[in-house]
Amino acid sequence: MIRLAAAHRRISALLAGLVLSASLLASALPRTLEASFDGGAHDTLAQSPPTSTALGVTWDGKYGDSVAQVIEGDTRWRGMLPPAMRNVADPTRLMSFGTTLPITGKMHRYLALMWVFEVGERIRYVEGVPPGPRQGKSFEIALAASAAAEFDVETGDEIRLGELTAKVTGLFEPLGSATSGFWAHHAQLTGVERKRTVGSPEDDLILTGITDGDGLAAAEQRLFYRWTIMVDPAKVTARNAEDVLSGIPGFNRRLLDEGAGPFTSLDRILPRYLDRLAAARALVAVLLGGLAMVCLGAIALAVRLLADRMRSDLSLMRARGASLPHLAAAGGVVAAIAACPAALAGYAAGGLVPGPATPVVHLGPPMLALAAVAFAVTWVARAHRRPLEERRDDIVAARTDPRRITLEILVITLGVIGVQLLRTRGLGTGDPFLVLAPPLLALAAALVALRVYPLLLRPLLLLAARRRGAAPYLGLTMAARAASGAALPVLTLLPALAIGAYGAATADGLESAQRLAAWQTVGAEIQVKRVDGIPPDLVDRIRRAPGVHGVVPAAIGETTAEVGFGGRRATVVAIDLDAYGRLLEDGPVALPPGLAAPLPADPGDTGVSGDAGTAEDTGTAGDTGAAEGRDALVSPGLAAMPRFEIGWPERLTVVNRGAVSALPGVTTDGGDLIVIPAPHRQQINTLFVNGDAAAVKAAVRAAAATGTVITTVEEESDRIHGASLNSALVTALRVASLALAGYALIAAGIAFVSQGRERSRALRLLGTLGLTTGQARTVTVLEVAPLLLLTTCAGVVLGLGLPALLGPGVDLSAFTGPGGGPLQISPASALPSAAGVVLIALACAYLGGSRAKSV
Amino acid sequence: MRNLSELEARAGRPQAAFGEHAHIVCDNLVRIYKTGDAPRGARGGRGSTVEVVALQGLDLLIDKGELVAIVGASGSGKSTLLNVLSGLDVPTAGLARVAGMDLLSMSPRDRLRFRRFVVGFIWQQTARNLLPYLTARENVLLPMRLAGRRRAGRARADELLELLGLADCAGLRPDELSGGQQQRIAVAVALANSPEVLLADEPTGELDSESSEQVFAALREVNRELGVTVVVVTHDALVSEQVDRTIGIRDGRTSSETLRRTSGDGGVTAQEYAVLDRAGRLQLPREFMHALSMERRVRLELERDHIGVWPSDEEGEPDE
Repeated sequence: MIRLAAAHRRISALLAGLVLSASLLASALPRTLEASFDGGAHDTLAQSPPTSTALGVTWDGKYGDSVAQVIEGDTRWRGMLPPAMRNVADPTRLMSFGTTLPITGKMHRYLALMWVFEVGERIRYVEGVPPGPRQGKSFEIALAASAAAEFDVETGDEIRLGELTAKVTGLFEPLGSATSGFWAHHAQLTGVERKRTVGSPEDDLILTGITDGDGLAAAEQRLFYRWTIMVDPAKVTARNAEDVLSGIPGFNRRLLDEGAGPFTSLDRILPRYLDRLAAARALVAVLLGGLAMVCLGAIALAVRLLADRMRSDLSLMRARGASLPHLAAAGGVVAAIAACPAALAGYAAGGLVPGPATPVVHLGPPMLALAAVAFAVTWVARAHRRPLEERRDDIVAARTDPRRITLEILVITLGVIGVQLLRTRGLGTGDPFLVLAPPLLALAAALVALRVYPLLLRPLLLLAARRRGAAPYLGLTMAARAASGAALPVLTLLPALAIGAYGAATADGLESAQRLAAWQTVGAEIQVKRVDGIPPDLVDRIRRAPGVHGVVPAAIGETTAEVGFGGRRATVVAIDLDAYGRLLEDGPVALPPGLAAPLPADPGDTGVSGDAGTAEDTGTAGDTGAAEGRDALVSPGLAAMPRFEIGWPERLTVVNRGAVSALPGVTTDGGDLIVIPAPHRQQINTLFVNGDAAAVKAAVRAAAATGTVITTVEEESDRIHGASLNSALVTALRVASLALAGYALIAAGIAFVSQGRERSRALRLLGTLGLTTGQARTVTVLEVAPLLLLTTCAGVVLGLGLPALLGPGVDLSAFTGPGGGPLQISPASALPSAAGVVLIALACAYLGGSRAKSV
Repeated sequence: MRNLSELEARAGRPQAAFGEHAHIVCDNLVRIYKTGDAPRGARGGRGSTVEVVALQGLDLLIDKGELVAIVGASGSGKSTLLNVLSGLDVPTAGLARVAGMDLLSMSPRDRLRFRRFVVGFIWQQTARNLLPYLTARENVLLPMRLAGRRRAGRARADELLELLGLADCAGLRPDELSGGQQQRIAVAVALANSPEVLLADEPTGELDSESSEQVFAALREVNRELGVTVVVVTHDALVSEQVDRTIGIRDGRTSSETLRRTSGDGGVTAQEYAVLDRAGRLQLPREFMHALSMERRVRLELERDHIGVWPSDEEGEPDE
């Protein structure tokens, strides 16, 4: 068998190459994707505030009389964690308890007495000593040095808290990063906490001092306890995130049963990640399903070619007394000699790619090798099971097989039903049938193309028959003869091109949607932001910088819209909407329709409105009309209020003049939006700039304005695109599309080579009748071109139509980012690869034509 | 006139079936190749069926140990006949029996056994008879290995190569041998499992006259030494000089036989006969028909020791 394989080493090598590449893809791609999905989970948690990703437990009231009991509480809560949550819990223990008391004689000033677990290891005393035990009604406390300075407190001072006193024994500085886990959860220790009560003209200031735990635990005051179980972002993966999320409600219930209060935002953060993960997995599954189908098709083509090449050898063995199992085994062994080492090599090479190994990583390569062997056994057995087929080689057979027609109808029906189900149910269900629906539809389209092909060829043949030149007619005649063996190549080529086009178009659509999202986030080519306000000279510098051709200043800040009892959190934007609208004309985003138009004037209202919006240069807009009210557009959450008060950029009354839901360059984080269509010169903290980013950066450097943050669309686009899930999805789509194009080319090549002997025989015969080399090339190109072009066109059209066909079934809104909008599919994205496949195939046919004639 | 009792006794006597004792029997053998759709009007048909009748009621008897040539023009059905006799093809109707095995009713297992042990086959193309990557000895060993006869296989292979004068070629691959040597090794391969019948399809078609002579000498040698029945298909009418009997095939039927006899003085004479089948059908040589302008019908007259055949008298007969 080894010598039989060696005799057909070229085809064996082709088969080995196909199995190797397919095994490599099967082994490496899932690893890479899983690693990226895990990276996405890590990014999601790591980029969220640690306080929102942790699992918190609170206890309001007395929990125990000693610190030891509080520490034991941590063990108790951790013991209640479901296994999935326990596996991702960080072992670092964070717990604290305390009480907040008003400072005697000072309005809006409070002191929080707090015990924090192992705080001594996290701070460095810059003055004094750590606090000692409680002495009756007197506590000893230590304060952060910066907070003490802000409160004008020094070591040795005593703070009266009603009948209690707190004596400052030391001042400390925090050790380590302020964003590290410990300080993120105990930020109140490092500074003065500010809180504003609705209706209050002044903030409440809270100073936090650390004190002796046992003394505080034994105090009579009502204490508030907090245990924090941090989640290690590195331990949350794409595979356990779902279990972690599903464990949260049960954990919360158990805590509530115990009388404790759970708090976490993990149950809001993880679903966002899981939604994106599900969308990515669904799309990748469609692509990989198609890729697997095409890989198997290409392998089947190579095996068929190998079986055809071995046919004479095996026929001879059959005539010499080999039984059918003998022959099938011989075919299988030859395929195995090529496929098994290749699959092993692909699997080993895939192992070098970092990433967790999923079952498909281990099962894929052996399944591919097994498929190659099974194909070989089946083909050989089919070819040699009867003494001689009921046909002669010199007569074209066009037998209609009822079984084949039934199978074709079944595949077409399943494809259509699958797509319809996918549209209604979506891919999120994880149903493998739905995942396979798009490749199945591509297969159905290939079957239809095969049935349509003779109908298209017939008029071409009639046309060619009327022409004087013989070459077109001969070429099309050969195309018609070759059609009987073209089923498998078309069934491989069309799905490859269709799914590849779908992947490429989707990847392009995602990238353009993400770029749109970047524009929505930045609001212009460049956004310059400074929390402490942008000084007028910096505005002038940027305006005069070379290459800058548009600057629109804006005041963007947070405030509380004073409506109802608690108020509503809102983002205020004071900006010249006309100027901003003109600036956005250079980019892909625009102001919402109607927003750039002048606000309707209310004759009964004396407040400034449209005129104020053009008062950028006068600088009076911010000052005028404050007493009567300022015209503004408000988000739907505030639309019911005709006017209300806000505290930023100054205390003023907002007069509701219309609705706005979003503005480019402004994020509201779920709060309301208030747009005042006039700049506020005193509070300008944002510039929307179009022009040269380097010039803007140079101007900012020259002005030495520290704390200025410059964001460009390119940077934001890179950031969005660089997120693990986004990049994984787009990379997977690109790799799969590229691989599919490669397999499409291989399928076309194998189909061309399969007909090589017959073509060569025909061309040599025609050569003796006077066929020139040029005519031979034309004949060969025309033999290949009709089916190739039909298949390619059908594949590309189906691929580009798949997003519309699948509709809401494949929801990628989670990846288009805020304001990304629906996926825009451009034909240009899919055409290069398809055109490349066609051109290379036709070029090979053109060159092969002369070679076949000369052989 | 015989009386009734004689007729009854005659009817009751067992009669020998057609070709009962022959080694190869074909009785009214038919082979039709069908391609395309079902006939127009049939369910699902589009009326593009093509039928090629390769054999149309062929009769043939060959005795054990004979060396027979089957000759005919291209397309006459001789290769189809050989494919049927070798078990590579199945006839559509009729009877075909080789060495007592009915070729129409064989199970796949019987057919495999038939190919392994009953017949050996040689094709016209030298390259088609041998696996190019095996040596001559390995090629001879192959049928024995496929049949599970590993013991003494090498000795048998060497013995056959010796018999055919190819002992020194045992270690050579086909591409290192001449065409004649390749065909003689093909003979050895065909004889590897000691078959009773050797079938050869144009074995000398690609050879020069000298090599052809060597191959026929080899075939005569195995026929004589091993008692193997040899059937050679060829389109070369001169082959009749090399064999005992030459059977002509025309339009899928046996049409003539040429017997080669050695006279008492050592001279060889060949006499051609027309074949009369069991239904009384007779094919007249085409040149005879043309010479006397015989068409459509002839007039027969039974004489005492022969039958006369005359062109029909068109003038006195109504034209149909």
